[in-house]
Amino acid sequence: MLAVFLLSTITLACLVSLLAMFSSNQWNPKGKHCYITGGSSGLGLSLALLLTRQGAHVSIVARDQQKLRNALDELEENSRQNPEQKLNSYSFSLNNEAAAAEAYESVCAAHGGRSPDAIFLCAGTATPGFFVEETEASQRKGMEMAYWVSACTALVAAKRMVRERVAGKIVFVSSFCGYMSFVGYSSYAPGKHALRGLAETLRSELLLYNIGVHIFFPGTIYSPGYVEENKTKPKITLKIEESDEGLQPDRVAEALLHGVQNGNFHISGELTGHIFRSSTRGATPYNNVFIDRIYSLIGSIALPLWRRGVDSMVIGHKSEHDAYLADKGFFEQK
Amino acid sequence: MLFGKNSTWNPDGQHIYVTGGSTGLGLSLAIILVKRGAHVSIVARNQNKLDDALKELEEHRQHPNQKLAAHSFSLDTAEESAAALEAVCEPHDGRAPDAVFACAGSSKPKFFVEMSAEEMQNGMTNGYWVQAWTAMAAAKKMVRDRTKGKIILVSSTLGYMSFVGYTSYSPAKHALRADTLQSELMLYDIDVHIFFPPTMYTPGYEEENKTKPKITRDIESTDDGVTAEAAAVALFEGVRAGHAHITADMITTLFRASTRGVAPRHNIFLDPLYDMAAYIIAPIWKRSVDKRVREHRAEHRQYLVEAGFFA
Repeated sequence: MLAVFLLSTITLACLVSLLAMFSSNQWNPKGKHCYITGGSSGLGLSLALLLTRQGAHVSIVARDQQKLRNALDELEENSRQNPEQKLNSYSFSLNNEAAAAEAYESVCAAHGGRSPDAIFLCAGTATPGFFVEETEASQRKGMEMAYWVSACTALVAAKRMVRERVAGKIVFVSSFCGYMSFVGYSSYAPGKHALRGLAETLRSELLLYNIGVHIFFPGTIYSPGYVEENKTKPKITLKIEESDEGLQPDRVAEALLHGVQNGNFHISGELTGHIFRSSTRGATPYNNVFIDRIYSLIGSIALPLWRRGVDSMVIGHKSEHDAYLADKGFFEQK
Repeated sequence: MLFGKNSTWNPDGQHIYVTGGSTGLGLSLAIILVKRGAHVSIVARNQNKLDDALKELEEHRQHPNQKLAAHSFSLDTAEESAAALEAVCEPHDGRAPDAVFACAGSSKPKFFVEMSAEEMQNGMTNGYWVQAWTAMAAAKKMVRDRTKGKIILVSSTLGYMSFVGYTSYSPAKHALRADTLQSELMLYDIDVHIFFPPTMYTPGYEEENKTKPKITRDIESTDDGVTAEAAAVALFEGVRAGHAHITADMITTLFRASTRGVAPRHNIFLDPLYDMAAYIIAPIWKRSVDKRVREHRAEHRQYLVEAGFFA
């Protein structure tokens, strides 16, 4: 029984794999209007530069006016390919539907009120900390900066694209913390997992309107956001992440664009990402039926070992953590 | 401790707090716990339903010193959830419960393009926050009391995958799945479990079906749901067996095994077999769901036109 299973699996995998290699309907950004949230720094900015170099019209939205000006200068100086390209920046918050709608309206205005062809939801931050030190405010803020900042724009965009009959793309940016989590990320991982739930639902639902959905799961990105995040990150979390190799935003942006062009629904950027993606795939479409299986097999050995290692570190940290809480007066409070 | 241990948890004499305990899964679970000799406190909003539920719990009382209580609270905010926990602990010298089952929650499926921002927010409140606030209050209290307790969250098969209609619900159920707490609460010897039930035939399910889009119902029509009682048994047994992720039906088990990532395994031999089965079955299922959605396009367009969406 198992042998038949294996044999048919391998045969099927090879066939589908071969078929996949012959289909190439690569998405080309040239001449398309791309809207990037969080586009003034980190991954968003790198992506904006990349898309501009490929001939797209690019609109970036973020909060800080100065950063936006600098970003737009960079796009103009280092990436513009031809004078017809429309490169714009707008300062908006994106944390609720009203703000997201306002931003979207401005972005469309420069293009005759028409929806962008692709939306890259790169805005977001993380503020790690211990769960027992969280408050309602910090938990809600965490969800806002990991989930709502993207979900609100997605809601606005979907409605607009459907009304205008634009067969566009919506690209979410989750994280490894959308595939798994560990100590320190109780305000961040739920939001990144929630994005996955939203993307999975929308991938199915937006088939009704020919709107494509992608979701990216990058690991550590050496961006200004990462520097900010490390300011509050618990020591034990830093220790667990010690062995992670992060990537520069340019590399990460390339992986994201590559995945969108290949038509991958879940996009991962390097080996660790592929392994997590393949071993937590469930019913999510394969990127490559054959290779994904290999990643999955590697994952089935490597991930439990990794998990055991992380658990050991956490358990080993118990007494130090107890002293830390005692020092902060945690046990005196009600 | 969960991983690698073969202990069976016994609720006899323990104080167990069940949210959403007046109906459906929560009530069925509370009954099981009462039968096993636990002190049980249930919280929900509706006082009448709580009164009826308490009467039912009394029918299963095992001995006179079992403390059975019902309290009416909303759990939508951290403050309310903390107040609920305080009220629950009061008859127990203000001590933290030994286990907290966060069964509260509801779902309101709808098309994304017809959803308001408020409905999306409500979905997150009723699918995630209503449990997360309880988990936060319980964790803090257990840590302060140095209680080596258990926190059990209730997600859904829709926390492992999703399809058309669930944009306000599936994100919340995925959010619960983040294993931060399972890792972090090892700092305090607090176990965390999470349950992924399929469709449960409860009052909540009937409510949900009132707004559910037809295409969503069609896709679900081949699923076998379970009764609240059966789900409660599976949940209870899963906690007893020390499983981090708990399922009540084969389909969700296949999802669990093939989307496990770093969540602990149940069984080193069975899980890979489930995973292989899912490897074949899941894409086929997915393809058939996608096909049905595509075929629904014209009808859906007509529906939106009639709803005035394009006006």
